[in-house]
Amino acid sequence: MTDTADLLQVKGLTKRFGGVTAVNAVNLEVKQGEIVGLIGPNGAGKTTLFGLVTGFVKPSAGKVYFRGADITHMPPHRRGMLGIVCTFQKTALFPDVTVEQAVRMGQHRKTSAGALDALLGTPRHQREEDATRVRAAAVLDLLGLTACARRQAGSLSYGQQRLVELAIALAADPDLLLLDEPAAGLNATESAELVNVIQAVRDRGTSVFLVEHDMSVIMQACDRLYVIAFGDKIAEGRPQEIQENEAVIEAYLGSQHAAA
Amino acid sequence: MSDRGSESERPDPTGNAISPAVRVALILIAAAAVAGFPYTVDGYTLHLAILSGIAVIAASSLNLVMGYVGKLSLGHAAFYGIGAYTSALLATSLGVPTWLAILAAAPAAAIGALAIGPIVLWLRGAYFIIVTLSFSIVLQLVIVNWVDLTNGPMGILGIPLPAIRSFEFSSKTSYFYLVAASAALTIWCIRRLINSRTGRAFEALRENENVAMSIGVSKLHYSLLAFCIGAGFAGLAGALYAYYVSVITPEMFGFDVMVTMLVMVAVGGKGTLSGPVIGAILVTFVPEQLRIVQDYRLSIFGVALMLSVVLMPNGLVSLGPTLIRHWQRWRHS
Amino acid sequence: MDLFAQLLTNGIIIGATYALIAIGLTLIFGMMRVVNFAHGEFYMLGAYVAMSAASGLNLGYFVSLPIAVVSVSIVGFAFERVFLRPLRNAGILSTALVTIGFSIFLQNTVLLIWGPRPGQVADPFGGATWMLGDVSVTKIRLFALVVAVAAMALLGAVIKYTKVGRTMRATFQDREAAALQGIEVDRVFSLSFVVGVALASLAGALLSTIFVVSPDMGNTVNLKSFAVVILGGLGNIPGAVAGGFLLGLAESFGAGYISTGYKDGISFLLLIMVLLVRPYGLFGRESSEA
Repeated sequence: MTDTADLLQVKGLTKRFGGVTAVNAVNLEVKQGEIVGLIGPNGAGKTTLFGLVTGFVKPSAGKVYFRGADITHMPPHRRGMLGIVCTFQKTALFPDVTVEQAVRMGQHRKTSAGALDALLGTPRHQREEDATRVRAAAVLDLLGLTACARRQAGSLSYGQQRLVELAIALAADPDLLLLDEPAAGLNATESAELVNVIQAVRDRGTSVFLVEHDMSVIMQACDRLYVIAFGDKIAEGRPQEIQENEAVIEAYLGSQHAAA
Repeated sequence: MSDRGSESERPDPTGNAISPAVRVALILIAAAAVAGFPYTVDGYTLHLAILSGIAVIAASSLNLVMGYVGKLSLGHAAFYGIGAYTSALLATSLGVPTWLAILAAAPAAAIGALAIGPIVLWLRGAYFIIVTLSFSIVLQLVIVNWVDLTNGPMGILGIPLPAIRSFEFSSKTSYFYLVAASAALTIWCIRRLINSRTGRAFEALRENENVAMSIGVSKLHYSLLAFCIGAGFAGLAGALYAYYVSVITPEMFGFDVMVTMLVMVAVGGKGTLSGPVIGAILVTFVPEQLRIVQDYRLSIFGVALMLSVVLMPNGLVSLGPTLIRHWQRWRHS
Repeated sequence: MDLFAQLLTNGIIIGATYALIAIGLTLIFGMMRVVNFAHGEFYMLGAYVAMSAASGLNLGYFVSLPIAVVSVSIVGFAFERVFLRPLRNAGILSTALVTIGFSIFLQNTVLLIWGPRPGQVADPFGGATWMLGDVSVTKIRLFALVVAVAAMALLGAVIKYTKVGRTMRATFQDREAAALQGIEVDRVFSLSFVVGVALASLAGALLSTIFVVSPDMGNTVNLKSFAVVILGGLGNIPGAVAGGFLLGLAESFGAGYISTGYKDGISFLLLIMVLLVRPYGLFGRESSEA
């Protein structure tokens, strides 16, 4: 039974690699309009769980539902077309094209012209060529990348590249945005900006699910948190509740830096 | 036809924000140059020009797969060969008229691509390269050994003079126009594809497959599309070659042809529209102009390939903008 | 039974040399993510240098072997330093193009220097054979087998027991982690490439007395070793060894029981069949970097 406000629902999701159970019967949901975070100590299974939701990792058991539909075995590109778009942990963007071109490329699912449209120059093709340019400018503006529009994406600084990755994902106008450690390598200013962006994205109608280590980002941005350790979900709730949760503290062995 | 300037992401000298009026003027000038060309050069140069035109089509077709989708298909010469053999067989065995035989070449090659594409295209990196190579070798073996169909190593002889209705392309000049028109059509088609949602999907796959998938690009669909379209144009080039030389052999499927195409794309500039054109013309003309003995050709190709990959990874077409950038930097320092 | 034993023996011997070549290829790929299309040409070069040293310079076969290996390894080292190191982060398409370029260059240049006429190195044992039961083996083939196996064993020992070996293993597993540990990854890469080339040239020198030496001898070897390496899984050294022997035996029995004409085609058949069922080879694992 899925709650109609649920955008994403994960039930009993399990992944075994050989003898190791990386993710053990985890349940979680992301509701429409929420920003949900996933935290846990290193090696807890966050990346694997993230991969199961994005479709890049195949589950051993369990189910994934999107808007009530079973997408458990759906490949990543089809999830993308449904509106589930992700970013990646290691820098993953389109390095040898301009930033503007990259953001136009990201709009694939929002457009529909085919090869024939392109060859014949149909109105649909013309319309979309213009529309993608306009939308690209808007996304770049949102992320403060307008000045970099004509530069090769791969030539930008690390922080800017991470923004470009985000821009590509946003260009797809996702219903559910999955972020894998978006704050990694960002300084305090950049992280604060990231929080703003995530909230702006949510305000425009995109729900967000993020995996993150940076506690300040998590505490400020997220409505709800899930905590996973050794493949098991050990806690869920609002950030303040999680902060005081003993099991969580123990799982981190007290080595986590204080939240904002 | 109202592209507001082509939004080429790579340094592409042939298309950054040129106004429509200037574009039309340039096209007219180019057309006039092409029209007058055969009358200003000797027969041998015209011959090379025809070969260049065919090479432009072949190299551009390889570039679609290699430069825009980013997969090194070492089997591409096979599609060139399929196009050549299809039209040659249709003409010699079934007496099919020229225009039909040449038109049939592209779909024949594309069907070949459709057949092996799904098997090969989802292989990553190294596996893809090696398997496409294996397929082309197997195909060459089949062509050589299936004597009943293809006349084996002797090849197909006596391909008739190309003719459309009663007009025979009996002169080099007329064939030059045919080839030039085909090359222009090829470039035009590829340009339209590249500057579109389809082209952007191709490039997404080249740049980062995972990101491409996450934004909804189907790897199989788009790489297959590029593979088949590339094969089709290669087939067209093969057919044009067959009719020009009127004798073809299984050598067309061989590594020599493949390597020549590779050098054209790599040296000219992969991932750009003008790169393969420049590469094709250079590789066809320069060895002749320098009177390079046939014996040394492959050694030089090898060195050219190595040097261009290391020194000019974006090919000769990137040289201009790169030099300009360096010069600007030097001036402002 | 006679035939079987004979074919088995031949298969093992040829398989050992295939394994030698394949180890080099898979090592280079596993370590550097480079598909070395020139691998067959290093094999060919090994044969030619051995031939020139043995016959041309009259140094005799046994002296020519190390000469061949060392000189071709130097060529390999130079190539890696000049053309591969700058492409460290360039991606597989670029490195493939560069090795293809070198392969064409080597093949054509050897053709220019030595001419198209095939040659061979004279059998230093003068065709003498050994009888193992009912099976006859030429001494030279036995010699080749012994040297090949010894080389493989030596490599295995070095990798397992020495500091250099440990460094190589660490880099093989995770080059970034290795770099963080202070390992000079560039040097490890050069070393691996040279080792791979050395093995290939050794195989070429060993087989120069058994097979015909011609400029295009590297072509079939290239393709077969790719087939072997894919069968065993790219980057999987034990897989390459197993695959090498497997191919050697398959070819031997195929030639013996079916037909010698299609011997070379067997590797492709095997390759295509296996890839259809197990796309990452018999022993390979799915890797996002392949």
